Amino acid sequence: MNTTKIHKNNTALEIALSKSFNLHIKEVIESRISSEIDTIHMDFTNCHILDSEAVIFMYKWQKAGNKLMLQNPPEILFNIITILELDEDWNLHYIKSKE
Amino acid sequence: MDVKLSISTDVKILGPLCDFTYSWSLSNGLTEKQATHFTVAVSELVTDIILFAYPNKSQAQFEIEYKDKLRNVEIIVQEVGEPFDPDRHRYNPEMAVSDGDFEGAGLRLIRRFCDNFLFINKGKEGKEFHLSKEKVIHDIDELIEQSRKEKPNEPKPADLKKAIPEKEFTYKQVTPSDAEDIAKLIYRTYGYTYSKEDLYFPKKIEQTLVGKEKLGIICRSPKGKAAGYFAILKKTDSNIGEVGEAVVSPNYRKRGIMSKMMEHLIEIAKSNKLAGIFGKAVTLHPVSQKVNHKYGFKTTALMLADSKNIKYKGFNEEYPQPISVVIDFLPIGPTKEKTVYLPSKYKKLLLETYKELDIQVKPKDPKSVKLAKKSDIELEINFDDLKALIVIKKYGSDFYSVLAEMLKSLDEQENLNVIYLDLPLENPSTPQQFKVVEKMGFIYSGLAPLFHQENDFLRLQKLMIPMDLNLIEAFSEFGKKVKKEIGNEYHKNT
Repeated sequence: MNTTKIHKNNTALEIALSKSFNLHIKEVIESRISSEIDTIHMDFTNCHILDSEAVIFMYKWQKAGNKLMLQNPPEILFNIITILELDEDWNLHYIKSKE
Repeated sequence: MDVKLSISTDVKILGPLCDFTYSWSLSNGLTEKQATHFTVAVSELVTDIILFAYPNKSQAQFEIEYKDKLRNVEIIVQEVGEPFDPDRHRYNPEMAVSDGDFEGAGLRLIRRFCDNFLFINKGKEGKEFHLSKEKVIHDIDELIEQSRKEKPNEPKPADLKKAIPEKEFTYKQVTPSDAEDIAKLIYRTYGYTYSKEDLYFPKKIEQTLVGKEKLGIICRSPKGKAAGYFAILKKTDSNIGEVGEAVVSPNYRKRGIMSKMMEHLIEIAKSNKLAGIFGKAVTLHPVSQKVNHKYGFKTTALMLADSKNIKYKGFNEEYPQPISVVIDFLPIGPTKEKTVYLPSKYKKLLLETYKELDIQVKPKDPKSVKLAKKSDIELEINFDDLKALIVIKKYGSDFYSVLAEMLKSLDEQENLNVIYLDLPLENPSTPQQFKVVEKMGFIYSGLAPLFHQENDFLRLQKLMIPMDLNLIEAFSEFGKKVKKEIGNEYHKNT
């Protein structure tokens, strides 16, 4: 069972992802985005699998002028960004508190 | 560990499926990084199937098969959703950045995160995807290093004089506890050059023995040292087995151990009620074929380019082309007369092959045959040896289009040496459908007796590389005849 936790804090969504971030999780997150939401914080500490649906969602969110902050994104995220050739165009904001 | 799952087209399946794929990949030899990449590839593929093959259908089902092989892991996905052509969905990074159009992004990731990705459109049978990832193997290096330290010298003539008499050796059916001795025996005999590399892995040997996939005989000296090993590998889709993995330690050669082990193996095959056993004997020298024929095996087919060209111990130079093998077959026990439908082109040769095997058949010419609604065709790809086997289980009205699409996919996406095709000889449609196949560049390989579901098959082959047939040595007179037929056809086609 996927136990991604989503918490609304004023105009921000705080999301603690579980093991994988995929089409299903993207749809769950989209269903929680209301018009006043302009910021998403994503905690990847427990998430080590994500696919293009996740990456495209985050890319489009930030490109639309919203804020995106990631915590402990896994290496696979950067691999996918490179393969999809988005690295030069996307200024990703993230913090790493674990190695 | 092989697994087959039936998956619903509900997006909620993605999380559990990723969890399973990741754990399965780890437990079958991939590193954490490889397992992550492979899992992402599966996630991408399943997402595409849910979104594009079954739009708006969350209750449909499709199948995923996980296969653990020696050097890689493979996942085969089969679905019968809406038609789809991956070549029409190429990812364009400029379009992604400028227009937010990410079409084909998932497929780009699948191709990058797998070592092999093959898409086959099977017409009415739907679509099939093959994803594979190579394993990083450490154990073999450790084992070889250990064996290198312990490698014995070849026996001196004086030692042979002091030889232990033949009758003092013991022969027992192998058990999982013999696995390590077998791996060492293989190394000491063949060095690095034995073609079946799983025999360098004691754990792999143990698994096959525990799973009863293998029936083997081990010969031990009076002091309990492993002197020889020989096995029958049971086929999973028919009640026959392949003899192979024959090895006698250099210290104990020239004492009839190999012959004794073969006698024991034939007895084991009888007591296990196998319908037949066969050997795939290499054709770069006649030694294995000679041994097979001594025990009544008959050559039924010649398979060109069956395995990659490796340096064989005892040969100074590398054999310059992939290794071809003959199928030597031995029926076990009495066989009932059966009705077969033989394509006229090979009727004479096939009947001679049956005669060689002493199998009674009644050849029949079908009048009119109704085809099934859809074909049942199985494809197996061996990425290590660059070969594929297509087995026709049932002919449907879509037979030509499905087979043509399979061949096109293999030709465009894989760099194979050869494609083998098995046509069922007990199916009345075969003579008619053979005419279709003949135009696709297939030539004769031979008879594959009882090879699938206890039925006989005509094995054909389509070479994708040039071969020099002069380098192929067939031992028996009939083997030479089969080789000549194949040579004539090959030169006519090239």
